[in-house]
This record gives sequence, structure tokens and C-alpha cells, in this order.
Amino acid sequence: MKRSVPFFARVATVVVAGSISLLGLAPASGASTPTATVNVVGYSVLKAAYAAVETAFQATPAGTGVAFTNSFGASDTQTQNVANGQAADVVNLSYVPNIQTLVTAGKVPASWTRQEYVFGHVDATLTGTKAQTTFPTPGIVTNSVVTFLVRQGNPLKIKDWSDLVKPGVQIVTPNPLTSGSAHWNITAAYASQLQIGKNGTQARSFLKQFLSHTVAQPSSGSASLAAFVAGTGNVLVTYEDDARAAVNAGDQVQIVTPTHTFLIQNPVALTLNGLSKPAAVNFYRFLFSAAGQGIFASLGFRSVLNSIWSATKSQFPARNTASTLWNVTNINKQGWNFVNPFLFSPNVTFVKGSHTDPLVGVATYYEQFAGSGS
Amino acid sequence: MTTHPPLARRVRRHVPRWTSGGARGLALAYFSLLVLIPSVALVTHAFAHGAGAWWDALSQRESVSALRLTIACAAGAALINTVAGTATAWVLVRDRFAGQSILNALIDLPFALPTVVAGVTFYTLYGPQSPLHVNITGTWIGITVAIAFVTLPFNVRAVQPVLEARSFHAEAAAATLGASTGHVFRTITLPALAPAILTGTGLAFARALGEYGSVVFISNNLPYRTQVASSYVYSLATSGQVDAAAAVSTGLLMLALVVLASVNIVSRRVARSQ
Amino acid sequence: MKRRTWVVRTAVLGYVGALIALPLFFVLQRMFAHGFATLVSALENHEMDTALWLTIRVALVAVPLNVAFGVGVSLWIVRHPSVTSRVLDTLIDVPLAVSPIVIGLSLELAYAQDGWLGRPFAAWGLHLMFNYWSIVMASIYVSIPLVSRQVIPLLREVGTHQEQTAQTLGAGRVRIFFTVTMRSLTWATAYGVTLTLARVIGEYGAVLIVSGNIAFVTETLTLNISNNFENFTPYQGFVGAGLLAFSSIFVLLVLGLARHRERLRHEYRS
Repeated sequence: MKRSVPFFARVATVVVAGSISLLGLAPASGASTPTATVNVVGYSVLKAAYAAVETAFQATPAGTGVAFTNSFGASDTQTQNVANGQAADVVNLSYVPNIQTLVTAGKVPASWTRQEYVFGHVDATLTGTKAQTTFPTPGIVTNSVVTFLVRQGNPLKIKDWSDLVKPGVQIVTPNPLTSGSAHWNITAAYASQLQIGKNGTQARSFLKQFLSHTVAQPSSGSASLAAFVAGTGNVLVTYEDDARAAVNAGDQVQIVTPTHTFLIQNPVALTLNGLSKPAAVNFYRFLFSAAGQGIFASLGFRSVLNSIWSATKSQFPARNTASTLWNVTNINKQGWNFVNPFLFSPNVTFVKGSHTDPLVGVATYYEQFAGSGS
Repeated sequence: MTTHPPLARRVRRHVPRWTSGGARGLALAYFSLLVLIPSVALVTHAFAHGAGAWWDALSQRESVSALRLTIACAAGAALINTVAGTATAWVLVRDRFAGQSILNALIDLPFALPTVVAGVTFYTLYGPQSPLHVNITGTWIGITVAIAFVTLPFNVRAVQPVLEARSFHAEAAAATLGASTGHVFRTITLPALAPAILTGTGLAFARALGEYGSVVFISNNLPYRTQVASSYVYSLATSGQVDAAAAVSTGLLMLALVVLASVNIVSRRVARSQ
Repeated sequence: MKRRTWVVRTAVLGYVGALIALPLFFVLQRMFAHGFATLVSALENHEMDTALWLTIRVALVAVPLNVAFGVGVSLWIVRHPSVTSRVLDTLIDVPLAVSPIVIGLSLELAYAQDGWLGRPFAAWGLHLMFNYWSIVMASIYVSIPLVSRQVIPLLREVGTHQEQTAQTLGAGRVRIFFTVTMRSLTWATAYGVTLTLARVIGEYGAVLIVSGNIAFVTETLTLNISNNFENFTPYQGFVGAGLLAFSSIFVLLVLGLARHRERLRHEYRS
């Protein structure tokens, strides 16, 4: 029969076990304590870009000793998380309504469009010869265009949107409920028809066809790219910068810029938390500086600063001036304020009596072709 | 006989209290904070705009499509695994061969392996770049295979202990009386195993209804076509429509609980009729 | 008869082999597919290592809490049945029927900044969502029934005979628990602890919702794997997946051992 374990050995075991457990509460990394931490929340394709921008910023005097936390994911999801309390100082989201959601939620000041001028020292409202930015839209940190990515050699000879609805074409595009990229893709698809002279009804029916050709709808832009590169589908609709990143990574894919493409403008804002952090304000300034914009440009983004854009625009396909490139205000003067509910209102409305929404949303497009599905 | 109440009282006083009141309060607080209150919050949000809106959210075409797909694939996988699980339990208990213990250990792998690992592996193994040159991504077959992987242990582990505990006297007697093995199995063994088989299938089905990580990659997540219920709830929840997400969640949860409860009742009734 | 046995055996081995063994083998093969040197540098990837450490840290807190709760609540339910304990018995198993996405949603609804509990906690300066604590909470929720499901049937079967004997010999309550009760419960508890650990390490759906996916801060190993697959680095994802596959094999071994010892104890008693 074993002798009973002495009391102090029992106590020692409990103490050791408890200490091991308490290791769980230890802070994550043992890195040298930073002078400040900036919390960045962004949409999904930004990961590589921000890694480069943050490293460059940390090399500047304003950025020495500044640490970053980064969270990237589907734009609408990230917006909801920040609205629900996730720590964020700088939010770089996919399209302007995301920032507006955060303004409504009280996380971003209503004057966020002025931050570019006040902190970034860039006046986006100037036009003509004095223009500092490529488009007069304040609060935008990067531009891009909607692009197709196809298999090497473009076997299906895809050139424009109408080629996407030919038989045998399998489209990969993200899920519009969660992804900002999906909003751009679907808006661009709609606008492409308006550009070739079709009316709203015909454009909507084109959207139906477009959606019926999708074979995968991952939750974010970067997830869609990963699915496409892994072999799903034969054309991906995405941001130009994401497509260029795939080509530069050596994947067997090829960029096709559609004849009737669409301008993408990604907004950035300092949150109320970020406004009180000098390090965050300095980082915001860096995003709009020549150095920061240069890094974005080198990674496939179209810079918003005229100076950087004129230096780098030869790397990008044509169709890049305000007169030739459609943007959200070409569909309707109110821009996203009209287009977002027009194309993306969910068809579940929790307001008594308004269940049937007269405006046709994306969800109801699905319904109309979903007959024999699943 | 009149001494019983006083004796019982005396005995009860000497039975130790295994859990103190403070410990019980702590356990209740722990469970409430972590499970109960969040569940109540879920139900509250689901019915925040009344039962009409709750039903609205559940009866959206996209929701119905996701639920129908999930139920169909879960049922399909559960049925396949009912047969396969019983056969596996049989082989583990009534057979003897080299490597049997490895088989026994392998059955628990879906319990041990993270769902995302399974999901990503299935996508690569049975997807566009499959070394086996099969591509079942974006199909109900792919979803059913993933669910079958996740739920096989439920079926096996429900039947296995019953088989182990069973002494096969009745079967042996029937055999000496001239019954064929098939007949013996159908009329004697199977009815005796029925409650356990039923329980396993019910658990498997209920688990399959909510499966996410192993299914979402291979399904390609196409609304109205290959989007499973958990993925639909995820997209609702992460795009700001939390009330709708809560509504569909409670519908899913009710379905799972109804299935579990009815399986419980039916298997008990079957067991009683033995 | 022999042929039928052989047919069933082959069919079962084929099914389990194709469904379960093949994916496991595939993960490990992918992990080693690019040679040892690549594997070592992938294992040293800072983001994955931080994710691994976060997962371990979560387990270090979530698993002991759930084990203490599981054993304690089992004792309560079996030894002191009451209305409360019967209700608890039914409710404890609910997390098994709930999708992890729904679990994540429930926790977010309760603990986000304007949630029922989130709002008062925030007023006291406690933030419990989109950080380490939300991951711990999600891990606890998903694995809460796993220990008690093993211990309760065992406690019912074992009965109080031995404890009462110990008590008549003068042992105190704590001593009885650790030397008598836990003795018969050892392997069932070990089984439950191992299942809990596996579940906590492997949780994905709930963590996806409540963590905020903050790289190096709330990115668990499971999140890291899916992030790698979404960001051009599938091999890194397979290395992480391989690590988890190895830990699963270890879990299987412990489960097998626990089952074996439990069967020995059972046979010895009967």
C-alpha cells in the first residue's frame, strides 16, 4: 500500500499547477515595451501593404518605438467589430459606407473627411492645375479599379463584362453580405451595363446572369483570391492591387482590365480613440505622405497623390482619368448614399409593414435564379 | 418498519455533503455567466421584433435554402454513418485482427482534430488541385463527405459499449435452432442494438446541423446553392444583421434540441419494448 | 461465414481508411512535402508561433476551469439531486447541440460594448470582447459538457459505498475526495480532460466571431491556419495544420489509454 503523500508535497503540486495555469494570463510577447501602440483595423487585402507601410513608418523619427496591432478581414465584418467595441485607432476600410456606419456607431467623428487636410496636410478639394489628389474625394487613401484575374493565357478570351456571362464561365466573387470587394464588384457589373448604354432594368438582368455564373462566394476579397489561385472557377473579379499581388507572387494567372471598369476608392479614418494618440495621428499623416503613398503604389495601388500618381501611372493600364473611369457618382449623383441601399439592401427588414422592399436588392437577384439550386 | 424514518434521518445526518453551498453558487455563477446569459441574449435578440419578424427571418428564401441543404446533407451523412458506424463497432468488438487498436484509436480522430484542419484538408484533397483528381467542392457530395467525417465517432461510440456488454447467448441459441446468421442478426441483434444506434444517429445529426469549420471550405459558400446554415448565420452576424442571425440560430437550435429529445424518447421506448 | 466477416472487415477498413486515415496522412504529407529545411523555417514563423502560444495560454486557463466545474457539478448532480441540479444536468449538455458560430454570436451579443453584460462591465473598465478573454470564454462554452458527460455516469455507477467506508474510518471530506472519489474517477476524468483540451485547442467557428482576428494578439493557431490559406501562404497553413494533427494523434493515444485503463478498472470491480 502506498504511503500517503505528505502534505507539503500536495501543496507544492497545487502551487506549481496553479502557476503553470497562471502562465495563461501572461502577456503575449516579450518584446521591448513600445512607446505607443497603434491599433489598425482594415479590409482583407491590406495585410502585405500595411506590413510594408508600418515598417517604413517605424524607421522614421515619428515612428520610432511605435508598435502596431493589425486586424484584417472582410470589410463589413471589420466594420461591425469596431462598432461593437474592437480596439481601433486607424480604420482603413473598403468603401465609404463602412466609415459612415462607424460614424453612426459613434466610433469615428463625423468630420472624418477633413482629417486628410488637417492631419495629412493634403487638400483633396482642390481641382484643376492646383489639384493635389487624383480625384476630389477627401478621406480616400488608395484608389484602384475593378479587375478580372484569369488563368494564364486567358483561354476563355475574356475582355469585358459581357464575356463573363458566356457559357462555361465560372466566376469567383466574394459574398456581398460581408465583403467590401463584393460591393465594388457588383456595383461595377451594374455600372458596366449603364456605360454601354443599357438602362436600369437591363443592367439588373445582367446582374442576375452575373450572379448565376458564380461558383464560389468566399467571405472576403483575399479569401476569394485564395480560392481562385487554388483552382476554383476560371475568372476572379477583384481589386486591381490584389490581382497584381497574385501575379507578382508568381501564380499562374493573368490580369485582364475590363474595357468598362470602375473606380475603387478606399477610405481611411482616425477613430475617436486614434485622435487622442499622437502616434496614430503621425501614422495617419504618413499614409498620405509621399513615402507612404509610394509604398502603396509599389504594391499595386493607384496613389491618390498626383505627384506619386504621375510617377507611377505608366505601370497601370489606361482608362484612369475622371472622364473615362466611372465611379459611384456616375450611377447616381448621391453616390453610395443611393447605390448602397439600391443594390445591397437586405431583404429582411425588421420594421413592421415594410417587409416587401420596392427596391430590388442583391438578395432578391439570388432568389430569382435560385429555383433549382441546392 | 416504524424505525425506518428515524433511522433514515440519522443516516442522512451522517452522509457528507459532497459540495458546499458556496461551491454550488460558484458553479451556478460560472455556468450562468458563460452559457446561460449569452443564450438568453441570443433568444432575446431573435425575438426582439416579435414572433412575426422571427418567422420572417427564418422563412427568407436564402434561409430556407440553407436550412434545407444542411438538413439534407446532415441526414444523408447520418444515415450512411448509421450503417457504417454499426459495422465499424461490430468489427471492433466481434472481430480480431492485427491493427484493431489503431482502428479503435482512429475513430476518435474527428473528435480530436480541429474542424478547420479537416476543412482545409478536404478542400485540398478533394478540390481543384486534388492529387486524386476528384473535385467535389461546391457540391452537396462534398458537404456530405465532410459531415460524415465529423460524425462517424458518434455512431461508433454509441453502439460499441452496447455490443461489448452484450453476451451473445440469444444469438447462439438461435443458431443452434437452425437460424441463418442473417436472420439472427436481423431479428435478435439489431433490435437489441436499436436504441444505441438511434441515439448515435440522433447525436450525429444534431452535431451535423451546426457544423462550420470542416464544411465551409469545401462548400464554396454559394448562397441558395451550397451555403450551409452555420455559414448563413455567420454572414448575417458579421454584416450587422444580428437579429436575423439570432433568429436563424434559434431556429437551428430548436431543431437540434427537438431531434435530440425525440431520439431520446424513441430509443427509451424501443429499449423498454425489448 | 468466414467470407462475410472478411467482407465486412474490409469494407469497414476501407471506409474508415478513406474517410479518416487518408486526410490525416495527407496533412502530414503536405507538411513534409517541401523538405526538412523549409519545414524548420516555417516552424519558426513568428506569427504562427505567437498564435500557438496564444492557443496554449487559452488552454492553460480554460481547461482547468472547466475540469473543476465539470467534476464539481457532477458531484452535485449525482450526490445531491435537487430541482436546480436536474435543470443544470439538462442544460449542461446544450453546448453539444449548438453550432460554434451560434456560440460566438451569443457571446458577442452578451459581452460586446452595448451587450447585456458588456455594458456594465465596460463601465467598470472590463472589456471582454475581441481580446484574450473572449477567446477563453468561447473555449469554455464549447467544452463545458465534456468532463461531466464522462464523470456523471461513472459516479452513478460507482456509488458512495467506498466514500462512506472512508468516512466511518474518520477521513475528512477533502481527503475522501482526493484519495477515494478521484481514484475511481481518474481515467474517466482524464478522458474528459483530454477531450476538453482537444476541443479548446481546435475551436474555430466561435473564435472567428469573438476574437477580432488581431494578428499576434488574438490570432489563435486555428485562425492562423485559415489566415494563411487566405493570404498566399498555404504551406504555412499546412505546417500549422500538421502541428494540430500531431497534437490530435497525441490526444488519440491518451484517449485510448484512458479507455483501456477504464475498462481494466471496470473489469476489476465486476
